[in-house]
Parts: sequence; C-alpha cells; structure tokens
Amino acid sequence: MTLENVLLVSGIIFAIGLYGVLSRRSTIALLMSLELLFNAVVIAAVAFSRFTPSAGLADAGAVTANEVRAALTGHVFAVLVISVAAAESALALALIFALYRAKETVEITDVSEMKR
Amino acid sequence: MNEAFEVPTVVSFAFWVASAITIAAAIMVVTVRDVFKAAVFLAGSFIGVSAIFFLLNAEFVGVVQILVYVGAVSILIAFSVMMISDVSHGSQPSRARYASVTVSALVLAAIAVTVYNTEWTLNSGLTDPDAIAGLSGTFIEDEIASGEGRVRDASGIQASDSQVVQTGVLGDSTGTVGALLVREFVLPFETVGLVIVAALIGGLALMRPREGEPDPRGGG
Amino acid sequence: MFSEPLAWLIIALPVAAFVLNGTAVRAFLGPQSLVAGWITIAAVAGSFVLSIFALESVASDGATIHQQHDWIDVVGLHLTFGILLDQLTAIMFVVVSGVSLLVQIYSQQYMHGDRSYTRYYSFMALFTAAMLGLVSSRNVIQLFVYWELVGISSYLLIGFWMERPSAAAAAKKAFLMTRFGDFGFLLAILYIFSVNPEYLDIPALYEAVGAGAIAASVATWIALGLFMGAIGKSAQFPLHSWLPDAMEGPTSVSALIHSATMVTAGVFLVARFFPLFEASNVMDLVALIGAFTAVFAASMGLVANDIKRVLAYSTISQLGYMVMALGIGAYAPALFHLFTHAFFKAGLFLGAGSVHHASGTFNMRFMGGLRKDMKWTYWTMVIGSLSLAGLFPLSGFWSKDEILATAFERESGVGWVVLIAGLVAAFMTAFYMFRAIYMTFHGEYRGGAEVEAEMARNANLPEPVGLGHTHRHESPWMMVAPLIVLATLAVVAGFLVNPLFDVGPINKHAFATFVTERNESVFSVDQHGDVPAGAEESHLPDAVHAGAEPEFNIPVAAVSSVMAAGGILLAYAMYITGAVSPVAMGRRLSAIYSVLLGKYYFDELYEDRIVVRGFYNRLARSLAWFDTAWIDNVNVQLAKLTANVGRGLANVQNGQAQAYAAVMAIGFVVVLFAFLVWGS
Repeated sequence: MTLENVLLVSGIIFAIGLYGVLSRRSTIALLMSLELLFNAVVIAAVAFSRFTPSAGLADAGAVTANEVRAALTGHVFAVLVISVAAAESALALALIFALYRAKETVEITDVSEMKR
Repeated sequence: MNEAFEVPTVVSFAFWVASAITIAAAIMVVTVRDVFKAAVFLAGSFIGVSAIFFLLNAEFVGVVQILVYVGAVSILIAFSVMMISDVSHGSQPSRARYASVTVSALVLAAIAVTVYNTEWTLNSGLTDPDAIAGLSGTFIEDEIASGEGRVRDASGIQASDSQVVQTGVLGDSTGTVGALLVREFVLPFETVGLVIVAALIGGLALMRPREGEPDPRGGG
Repeated sequence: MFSEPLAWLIIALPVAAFVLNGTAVRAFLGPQSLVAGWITIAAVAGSFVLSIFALESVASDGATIHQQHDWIDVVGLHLTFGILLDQLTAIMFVVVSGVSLLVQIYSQQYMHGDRSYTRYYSFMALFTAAMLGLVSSRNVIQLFVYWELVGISSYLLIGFWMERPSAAAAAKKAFLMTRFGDFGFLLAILYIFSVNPEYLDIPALYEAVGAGAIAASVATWIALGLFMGAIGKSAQFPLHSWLPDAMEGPTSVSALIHSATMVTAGVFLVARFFPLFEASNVMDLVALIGAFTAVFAASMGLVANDIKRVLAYSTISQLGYMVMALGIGAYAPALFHLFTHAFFKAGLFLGAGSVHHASGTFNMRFMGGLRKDMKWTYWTMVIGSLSLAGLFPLSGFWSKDEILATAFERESGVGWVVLIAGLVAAFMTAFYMFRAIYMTFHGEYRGGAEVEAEMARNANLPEPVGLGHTHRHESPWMMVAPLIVLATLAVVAGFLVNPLFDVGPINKHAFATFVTERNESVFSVDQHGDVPAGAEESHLPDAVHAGAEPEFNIPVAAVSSVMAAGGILLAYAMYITGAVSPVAMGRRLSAIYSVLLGKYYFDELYEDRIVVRGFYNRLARSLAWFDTAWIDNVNVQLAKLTANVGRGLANVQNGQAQAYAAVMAIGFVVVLFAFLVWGS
C-alpha cells in the first residue's frame, strides 16, 4: 500500500464514477455515480494526509505542534467534502423529485432546458 | 527510509481486498439496470471506502463515511428509488457507452500517468526524529510562550508532571482532526454548516407543492 | 490715413445688410419687402463712399498694410488675418462697390415683383461683402475663405430661380467647375505652407520674392496652382464653359458677378501674386492661355443668338485679354482694362436686362426694331459696344490699346501671338457686338416673348423658361439711370483716368503710375528692372517688368481700330444692308458654323465623354463592380461563413448535461496531458 497505489485506486473509482455520469440515463443512477466521484476525491485527500508530510515538517528547523497537526489537513478536507456531498445529494434528490413532478420523467436525456 | 512509516503486510493485504470490493461494487453501481440494486451496491462501495479510510489511519473520516454515506445518503437514495416508480423497474440502457468508456479511460490514464510520474515528497523520506515522532511515534509537546508548543521525540526524554506523552497524529487522528476543525478550520467548518442549512431549505423549497398543482402526497 | 476699422467697415456694411435681410427683413417684412433693397443699397453706398476715401488715402499716403491679427494660434499652426490696403485693393474696392451700387439700384426695378426679392438682396449683399473682403485680404488663407464665399454666393445667385431645372444645373456646373480651379489654389496654399508658413502673409511673400528667397521652381509650382484657381474663377480655357450657362441667373446678377466683378477675381488673383508670377516660369503659359481664350470665346460669340450669351462670351474673351496682358507682364494695362471693362460690360448687361424688360426674351431672333421704343437703352448700349469694340476715343480703346502696344513692344514670340490674338479678338468682338445691336434694335420687330413661345409650341418643343411679357417701352428711370452712369464712365473712364498727356489736374498715365510706381509694397524690385543684389535674375527681359509703361503706339492703335471698324462694317453689311447674306454665309461655312454653335462641343466633351462615358461608365462602373464583387462580397462571404460556423456550433449546445460533462472531461485530459508534455 503505497501512495501511488492508493491514488490509483482513487483514480479507478473516479473513472468508474465518470463513466456512470456520462452514460447513465436515470438521474438517480447519475447521482450515485456522482457520489462515487466524491468518494474518489476523499480517498485521495486522506491518502495524501497519510503519506506526505506537511510543508513545515519537510523543511529544516524545530518541529512545532501546529506543523504536526497540519499533517491531518487532508482529513479535515475529507470531512468537509463529505458534508458538502451530503448536502448536495439532498438537494439533487429534491431536484429529481421536482423534475419528476414537472415532466413525469427522471431521464436526463429528456431534459434539454439548457439549450435555450 | 525509516521503519516508522512502513505499512504492515496484513494492512497492505487488507487494503487490496477492500479496494477490490469497492471497485467491484462501483462497477456494479454504474452498470446494473435495476436502480434499486445499484443503490445497494453503492452502499457496499461506501463501506469499502470507509474500510480504506480505516486502513489509512483515518478513523474519524471512516466513521463519518459510514454515518453520512452508508447511513444517510444511501438510505435517502434507496427511498427515492422506491418513491419514483419510473426507475424501480430499471434504468434505460445507458447510451454512448463506448464514448463514455473512452473518455473515462483517458481520464484514468491521465491520472495514472500523473501519479506515477510525480516525485512525491513522502513521510518515509523524513529524517528529523521529532517530525517522525510527531507523526507516528510518541512525543512531548512543550509549553512555550507563544502557546504553539514544540514537538520533541518522547523516547529519550522523561516527561515532567505537567507534560503528557502524546501519540503521533497518524496513530490517533480523531482528537487532532477535532482540534483542527474548531481551531484552524473553524471558518470553513461553520460555512459548511451554513451550506447544509441552505441546501435543506432549498430542498424544501423545491419540494413544496406549487399553486394549482396537486400535492404529491395526495392531500389537498 | 485710412484707419483699419474703416477698412473693416467697408466689408462689414454689406455683411450687416446680408444678415439683416436674411433674418429680420425676411422674417418680419416678408420675402418681397422693398425695404431689403433699400438696406442693401444703403450698405453698398456706404461701402462705396468709404472706398472712395480709401482710394484717396492710398493715392495721397501710399499703400497701408494694416496689422496682422491672430486667427488660429496653436502649436505648429499660426494663421493671421488682416487688411492689405494697397493700390490694387483700393481700385478694386471702388470698382466692386461702385458697380455693385449701380446694379443694386437697377435691381430695385428689375427684380420688382419677384417672389424672392428679399433673398435676392441678401445674396447680393453677401456677394458684395465677399468680393470686398477678397480684394483686401492680407493672408492667403483669408483670401481663400473669401474666394470660396464668392463662389458660394455666385452659386446661390446663378441658381436664384432654382425652380428652373436649367438654373439649378447651371449653378451646379458653375460651382463644380470653379471648384476644379480652387483645387489648384488650395494645393498652392498648401505648398506655400510647406515652404514657409510665414509666406501665407502676402506682404511677407512679397518681401521674400523681392529678396529672391523663393526659388524659381518653387515659385513656378505655386504660381501654377494659383493660376489654376484663376482659370476656374475667370472662366479661362479649358474651364470656360460654366460662364455662358451662368446666364441663367437674373440679368442684374450677370451684370455684377459674371461680367464686372466676380469673374475678375481670377485676374485679381494673378495681379495680387504678380511678383510671384514674375519670379516663376508660368508667365508664358498665362499669356498663351489668355490669348487663346480671347479668340476662342470671341469666336463662339459670333453665332450665339441669346444676347446674354453673346455678352458672356464677350466677357470670357475680355478676361482672356486681361490674363494675356498679365502674362506678358503688362500689369498696369491689365488692371486698366479690368477697370474700364467693369463699367462698359456692366452697362451692356444692364442694357440687356432692360431689353428683356421690354421684349420678354433674351433671344435676339425675336427682337428687332426696339431702337424707336427705348432710346436711352439703345444709345447706352451702342456706347458700351463701341467701347468694348475698342473704338477711339472710348475707354475700351485706351485700355485695349495699351495691352496691344505692350505686346508689340515685347518683340518676342509670345508677344506676337498675344498681339495677333488681340487683333483677331478685337475684330470678332466688334462684329458680334454690332451683330447683337443690329439684331436687337434695328430692323423689324419680330414679336418678342409671345412669338417665341408660340413658335416653340408649333414645333412641339417645350416652352423656353424665363419668358416675360412684352411691353415695348423704355424701362423706368431707376433702371435707365445706372445705364447712363455706366455709359458715361465707358466714355470717360479711359482717357481721363489714364491719359496720354497731362490733362489739367490729371497727370499723364495717372492710373498706370498709381498702380505700379508708387506701389512699393508690391514691387520692391527696382521699377526700372534693376534687380537688387542677391536676388535671383528674373528670366523675363527688363522691359517686361511691371514698371515699364508702354508709350502710345500709333501703328498698333491704327491697326486695331481698323480691325474693330471692319468688324462693325461687316456686321452692318450682313444685318442692315444685306450685302452679305448671313444665311448664305452660314451655309457656305456650315462646318465652322455648327462647330461654333455647338460651342466647340466642350459641353459634350466634358459632360458626355468625360463625365458620363469616362467617369460614370468606366471608372464609376468598374469601381461599383469592384465594390460589389469584392468589397461587399468578401463581407457577404464572411457573414455566410460566420452563420454556417455558428449553425454548426449551435449543435454543440444540445442542452444535454452529459455531453457537457464529457466535453469537460476531455478538456481536463487535454489540459493535463498538455501540462505533462510541455509543462515544467
């Protein structure tokens, strides 16, 4: 388990998610693929936190407590991204329901409002 | 190279297993036609990801992953699938499949090339014993005037009464993440709270029955 | 000493009349207010009186160069204006304001009842002001402004009856053709400016020429441009054809503008820059153009049937006389001829107007026998014609003879050409003037305007425009009085102004002496041809120099008088006794006759060949083709390209979120690979 391997796994999950985003017709399935994208990004953030030192640690000079804590910035970002993703999925589902109510469909190919 | 950052073989093995499960579940999520099944596979994928988090010494993130994703998002999606009758009998066959595969493969290739061509600065390259102790060993934090504290390798030093021997942050991430969230990152943290509230209100506004439209719950 | 405000007042009085007539009178008293006439007459009379004072002042104190005023003073451009009151200006002041005054008085009756009486008088005032400003300008650019003002007022007056298409066309023609010459004038101004902006000030230019500071080649180009302006304004060949058409204006306008004053502006311009012309190499060209025009225009006058056109050709011919006189260096004789010509030609035109008043037409074929009805008009016109023909002892004789005598003294090729042209023109002039007199006043009355209109109807031709009513009696005294004054001047203005010997208080050669010898501002070069040290040697012989005064030459005078008398006799033989039949002669010389009647086909050449075929059909059409086939088409094709590309690209915006996401992903890949390949 090296940084490269973890990032590769993250990349694979991202690619799978991207495939889903591009090819799925059902908006709910599309939303699921989006969540996969989020997860891939979070894995990458945590992997960096685990395997790479913060800038203050890598340079010369005394090591301070803040520099040590900064090594976990990736974890913090992971938590923030997960929170935003949760909010996003709630909103996306609301949109899907609104779409379903308005058009009686959840197929994204049936929606081309952006054309206008 | 130093031993402190070496990954035990069992952990490495577990990572590969977890990764395999996650990837397999993810593939199922984007390929099965039954959306409900896809939602179930999605929950499995989330669990695999949380396992990876645990293996990466990110216990707190792993727990949050299970709570938020497996516990909330998956359930939400599953309920949505059930409420929208349209999708319960299956997603339409995906379109532009080969183009999508090509684009995704290209993105993956780009990521892979970047990952393997970059000279990463790794923890295992660290030489400062204090830094190594602060990350993965045990250390003592000085109380100095600025209040920031100075990290020292605890192995060769006797801690005084007022000092606490702390575990390295990679070994005990939860407390440190908590401290970061309410200190350095308090502003993004609060902002995310605001975003969630806004998203909730937005969701409610979108779902509110409009004038002249029948309530989807079949009421008035 | 004639102070500067008074000099400005000479110009300002007619300007005030113009403004007053154009605004207050027109608005409050109507377009036919007689007050307008009186205002203009009063203003011009004021100018005339002041002009007399100015002349008197210049005669006693010499030329006055009033100070320069700043006009435009910005970085790199310093223009001034001011009054240059020298002998030339003083004479022109008197001629212009004097003739103008008489014409204004005449017009009170002649234009009576015209729908736009007020407008007529405002334009006449504007013209007078512009002409007075032109002759007194100190700066070349100031002069050019007045020059163009003269041009526009001429345009307005030629097209005064603008409801007639022919008048509108004539005005347009006059304006455009003189613009051709003005183009050369403008180039000359620009060249002067590029040589040295200081030289735009005319006294400074004189000084520079006198000191030999201007090279002959530079002077030649400047003089050529200025002469182009003069050709246009003074209707010299080849820009002559506008002046006969300009007779579409009221006759009083023709009398003032197209005979006495405005057309002499070109002659004035050459006279004003005479030192420069002398220093240049264009003098021979000036002389030859003038000589050619004198004969050429006179020949067209031989066959014209419209009395005003006869006079118009005569004017062109006489202007050619003046120009050729200047060309052989006869500065004083040229101005003298300008001076005398102004009076008898104005008189002739006013007489033609008087005839029109009685017969209702200008076509001499429908006149005849008017001698009995209009004695005053008849005799004044006879005097004017005799003077124009150059018969002793009338004014035209003296001025014409001085020119011929100078040409004789030259004893050069150009001199002989000028002399012969002058004699031939004198013969022709005498013939056509008396042809006009005989056709108009002698013989049987041929019916006037009514008959002309009826004949046009019978021939199914459109009725000629501008026909009035026939009432065969003498014109009112307000029209006759100016005629008498001008006829008197035509008699006395020659000998008494520039006599051969001392006549009482008038010195010998008073006029010539006045305009040359005492005019030190113009002729800083020694009067008798000694070039000051450092000055460039003039290419002209010493005798050519302006100061040289020709002695009265009996043989030349005799020959010219014989020529003139011969012309008169031939006219008498043809139109009174019938000894020589004009019809038979026209038949025998039918080729020449039709060429002359066709005005040498210059109108056809200009309008049909050059403008229509050359300009419209060749140049304009090919340019139009180029415009549509290339300039426009490139734009059309570009627009089509844009439209097609836009239509193609519009398909990209299909509203499908997934397509957008795919493009985003591809973009991400491209950027990332680009970064990997070329980055770092």
